[in-house]
Amino acid sequence: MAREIPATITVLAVLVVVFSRYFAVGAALDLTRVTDRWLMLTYAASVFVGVINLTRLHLDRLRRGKDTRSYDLVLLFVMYGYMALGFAQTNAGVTFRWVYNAVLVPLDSTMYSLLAFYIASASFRAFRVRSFEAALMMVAAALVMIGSVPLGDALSPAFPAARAWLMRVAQTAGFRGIQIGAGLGGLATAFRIFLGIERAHLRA
Amino acid sequence: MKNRWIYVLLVLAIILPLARPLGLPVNPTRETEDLFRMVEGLPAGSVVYLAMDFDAGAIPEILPQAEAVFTHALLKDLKVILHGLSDQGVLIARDSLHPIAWSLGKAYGTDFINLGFKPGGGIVLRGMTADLWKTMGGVDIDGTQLAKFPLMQRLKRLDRSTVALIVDFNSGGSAMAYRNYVSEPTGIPLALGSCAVNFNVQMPFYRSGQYKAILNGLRGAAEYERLLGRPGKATSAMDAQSTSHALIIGLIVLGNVAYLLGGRRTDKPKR
Repeated sequence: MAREIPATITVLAVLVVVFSRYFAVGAALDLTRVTDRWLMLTYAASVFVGVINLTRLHLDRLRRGKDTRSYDLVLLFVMYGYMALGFAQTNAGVTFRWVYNAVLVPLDSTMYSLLAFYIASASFRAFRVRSFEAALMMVAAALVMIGSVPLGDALSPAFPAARAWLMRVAQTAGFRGIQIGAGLGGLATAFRIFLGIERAHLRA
Repeated sequence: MKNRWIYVLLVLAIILPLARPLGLPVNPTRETEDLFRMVEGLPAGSVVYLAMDFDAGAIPEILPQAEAVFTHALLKDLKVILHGLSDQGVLIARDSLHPIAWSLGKAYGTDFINLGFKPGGGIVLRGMTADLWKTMGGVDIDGTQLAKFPLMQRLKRLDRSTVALIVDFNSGGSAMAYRNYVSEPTGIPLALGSCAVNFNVQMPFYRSGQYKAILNGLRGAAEYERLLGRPGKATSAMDAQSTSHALIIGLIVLGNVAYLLGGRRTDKPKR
């Protein structure tokens, strides 16, 4: 039953969407409104599942006395503390907004900006002209980088022009191929799931 | 070369131009000009929907874009709807965009409104094309009834007759949801404010006409500021981006010279 029920729900959901999208009667009945509502409820419920899982995982690690206890405590304190603050003040509360702006925003920005340092280090060590293809990629990357900033405009109009051509023509052509391939792959997987051939998500 | 020297050079390449700007001109690209022209061409009173679908990590790139477009829309006497499929984007908008509106003498609920965040992605957008009020639970970001706001009286759902333009400021995959669930079915023109790292992903859809314009990261914001004639945060940060890009290109060249002179041995990082 653990496999049959999810498989049946999958098939029914696919049939509802296909019937609503491709048949006039289905469109008139607007059955996707029902599946939409269920999907939103599932999204909301998944938040609770995530909170419960996180709590269980970190409580378990605390009970076993692992050396990450301080991190486990911080996570649980922050998760439930901020949740409680949100319930008490709503997201318009002064303290709630202060914590968000003074803690989460700088932390998030810092994590993102650290990428610049990794890229700088990697550019010195990893970008090597080992082959013709590697050289081609390096030249293209350098042209896009210099053509994307005002320095490129100031040095020569050829840099922004080369960057524009690379972005609008060369990479667009390659990316379209990848996207069409991924789309067809997604369609094939959807058919396999619908027909019951692909059952990995049911742990079968 | 030790990593710490590379990091020191990068910090200097960022800080020095911020302290003493080089004043390099930012020439607008076609992708940015398209958005500026669209906003400029809208008649006063038209509704522009700004989707704040980014998180705090993308603030340096995306927020200057949103500020420039929001300012432009209000200066043109357009009405602005703020909404987000990201929980963080609408909170950032409340703290950063609302003060801009007040400084221009605009009133909340009449000239602009923030509808807040709803989880569900594309499903929420589909709902908004059928019944915006019901999908948003009938309230704005602060839980105030939508019925109290004059702007919302003319906006019962997202369609071509009520919304003139959607600009999705995104740091993830929300653009696809707006394209598939709103722009394509309703015909509302869709433009993007994108992180530079996502710009190449969006480009095929700009070329096909599905996105009418794209702002490309910090540069897109600086270009828009220049077109608007109001240099801001993005313009002042572009010099730092120029020097840091030049440094990285210099490091690539230096690394390859060392690689070729050193018998093609790779350099292991030293900490």
